[in-house]
Amino acid sequence: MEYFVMRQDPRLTNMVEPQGLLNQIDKYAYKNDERQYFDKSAAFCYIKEKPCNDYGDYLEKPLPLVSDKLKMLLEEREKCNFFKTVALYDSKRMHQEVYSLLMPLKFSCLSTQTEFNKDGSVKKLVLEQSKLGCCKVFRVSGIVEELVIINLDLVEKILHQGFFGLKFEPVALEGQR
Amino acid sequence: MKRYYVLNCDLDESIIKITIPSDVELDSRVFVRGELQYFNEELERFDLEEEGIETWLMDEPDFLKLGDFVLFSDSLKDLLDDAEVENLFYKPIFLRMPKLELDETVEEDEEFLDYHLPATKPIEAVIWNQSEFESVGTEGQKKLTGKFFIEPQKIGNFKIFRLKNVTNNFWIVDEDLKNYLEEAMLIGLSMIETSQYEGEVK
Repeated sequence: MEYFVMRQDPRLTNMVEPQGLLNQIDKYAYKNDERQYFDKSAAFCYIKEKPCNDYGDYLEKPLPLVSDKLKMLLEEREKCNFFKTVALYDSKRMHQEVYSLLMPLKFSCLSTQTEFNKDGSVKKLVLEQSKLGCCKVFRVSGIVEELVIINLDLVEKILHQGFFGLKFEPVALEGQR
Repeated sequence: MKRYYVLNCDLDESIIKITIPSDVELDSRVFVRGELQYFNEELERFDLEEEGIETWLMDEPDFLKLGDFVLFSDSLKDLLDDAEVENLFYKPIFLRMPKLELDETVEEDEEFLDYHLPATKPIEAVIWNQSEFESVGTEGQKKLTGKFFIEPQKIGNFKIFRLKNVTNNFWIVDEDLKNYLEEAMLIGLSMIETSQYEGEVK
């Protein structure tokens, strides 16, 4: 099975940017996958003012948010995700869109072949395939970034259904060139 | 201090005769250690043996212990869903009823009972210096042998959970969920407060 990092498409410069989301999330619980502390009640935040706003299906920063449509697909395909409703409000246009914070499982699957930059960020991500099990959506322990990894089956579903504003970067698996 | 209760199967073992077919391999990484990355939702079929089947025909048990695993009935799962329990993931299990020779002239289809094999990520929450336990193995695992206590702060929002680094096949509920389950009068399920636990019955 092949795996990919799900990314927000950087070419879309007018993508909405949530403001103050981190203040409404238990960052410790999210980062450490301590699900018992994760408050699922809805959060609300404003978006950064821009001349126009694109509401993509995946917003990567500051934490992964998915549209309702993408949430439904992820829920159907991978039961172990947690979601928290996040309402994004555009005060200038008095418009609201509902997203969900995506909290996939996080586990240790990092290969020793992973390369890091001097600041500790990942230069080249390599995963140990034998530790991935049958998980379709997950995060990786032991790295600074909150990368969302998804498997090829799910990537194909997402591409087939024409989701907007996301792209996929292949992840190396141990033993692969 | 908040109270917690161990789910206990109070049925006579003689009626819980279930055979797991040799081609079915339950992944203890998932159902014992809570490594959910290995979880899959594929249906499995187990066989009920004929001995003791009369009890099943009268009342289907809602909570069963099968070695290191437990099974929840459909009713118990529904109750947990209604109680908004979201940290459990279920593998569907069909228990195949044995063919009883009641009337040889009637051809009957195979009959199954719906059960669920739950999995969850365990939590490290035992207050060890107040609890009775013995160390097991070399990986820091412990077996609870008597009363034990749980640190409520470590449980967060969970109403039902398993304990990390504990070898007992324990499912623990908080007091609210215990009361809710008690009202439902489930079959085969009793609950013991953790401070009253006296170790496994030999």
